[in-house]
Amino acid sequence: MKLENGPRLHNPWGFIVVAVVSATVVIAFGLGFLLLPRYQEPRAPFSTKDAVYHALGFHIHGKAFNTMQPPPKVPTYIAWTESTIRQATIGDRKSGEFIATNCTACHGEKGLSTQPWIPSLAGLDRLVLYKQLDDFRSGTRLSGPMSAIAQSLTSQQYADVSAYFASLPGLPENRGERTPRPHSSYRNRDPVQRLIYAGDPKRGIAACASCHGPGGYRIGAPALAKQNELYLEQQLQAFALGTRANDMDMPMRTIASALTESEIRALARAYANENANGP
Amino acid sequence: MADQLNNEGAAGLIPEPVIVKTERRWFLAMAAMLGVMLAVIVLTGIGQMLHPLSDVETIDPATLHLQGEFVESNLGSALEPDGSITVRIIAEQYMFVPHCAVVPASTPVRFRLTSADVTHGFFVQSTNTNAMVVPGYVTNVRTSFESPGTYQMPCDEFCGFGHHAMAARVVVVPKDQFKNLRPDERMNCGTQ
Repeated sequence: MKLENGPRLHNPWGFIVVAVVSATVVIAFGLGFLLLPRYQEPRAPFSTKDAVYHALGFHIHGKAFNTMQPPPKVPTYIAWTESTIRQATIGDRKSGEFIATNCTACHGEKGLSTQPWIPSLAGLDRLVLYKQLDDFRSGTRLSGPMSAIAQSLTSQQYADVSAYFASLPGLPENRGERTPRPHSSYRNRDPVQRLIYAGDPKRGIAACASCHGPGGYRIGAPALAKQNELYLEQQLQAFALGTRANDMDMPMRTIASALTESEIRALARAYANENANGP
Repeated sequence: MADQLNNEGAAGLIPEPVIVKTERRWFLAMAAMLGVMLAVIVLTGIGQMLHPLSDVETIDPATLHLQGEFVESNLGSALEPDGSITVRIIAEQYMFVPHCAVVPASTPVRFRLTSADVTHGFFVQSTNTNAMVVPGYVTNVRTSFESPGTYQMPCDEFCGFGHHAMAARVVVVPKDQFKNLRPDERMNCGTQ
């Protein structure tokens, strides 16, 4: 360090740094916004402007990628948007109780059905009940009596009656059930319990409990413990055959069609006989 | 302590040029190690054709089943006019829909995935594909399969309770066999 010469007046480093940084920015812009979006996609002949838009994430891919557009088959008209969830959860329990007098003949006095092919509703999640009512109305889930009933109600009344049934004691509510049960692992000797709690990764079958509780919870998935056995079995078979097709993004049709006939029967029996605190 | 160090310095046990030389030697050693590590990253990236996704495409995860290219009837593998294959898959808790996709061998395949809920992972065994499937975005991956067979496609991004059982398959069939498949057979691998 020779300080006696004084500071240098012509320090080139300022210029060098600015030049290197600006060159990097220009080259990166050219690569990232112009060259890569244009030539990485062999079937997307973008103009320069479109290439920049595409790299920035704007929607211009409509014509480039949507080559297949058969008419959409809609499984349900419900989408779990914020407004739908708000609409489904603002129900009034009191007016719901009044509407529910129409339900008792089939679904039981306190939402606990005594007929094996009709589901119990007591304690089911509000969003589950609301979605099924809307599906009965729109015809994406088929049932003669339920379609007629759902068509005679408004969506506010769906929310009311859902709030009433959700408040009844009965089936365990799956909201808040987020703790896995002890012995819920592959080490369980019972193959049906293993399917419920651990799934079957070799066949890509997720554990029932990861969506239907106890343990996991997926929006729109009902709690199944203590549900009627025959009803569960029939619904699983309907999903497997595709005669019931109102599951959003097809989770139940995918899983049920991967199950064997005897597994479906065993699962229905296991869930029907399960108590709220686990097997 | 300080006294000791000063004494040592004053005693000149290690002359300054030696220290400078040692420092320079170790600096070069470190620079070489860093260079080797960076070279490993760059060369494996180029060699195995691992490249980050360059596309940003957005989509509404709540309404996949109502509109757009991920409606039910549009899922699975589709033959494009130019002979390539596009496979559209929804990743959701805790499965891929469709569960199994059939594609022909030695053909450019484009996977287009999106998530209906949380972040999932997309990875097909023994290929150069490996990408996150993020809700709100479309993951667009191109690859091709040389040999027919069944390829496992597990979710490789922890996504919740049922993550460990979330896996799908890609069945690669010979090119001429693929042409004879019905559209529904292409989507779900038939009865397996």
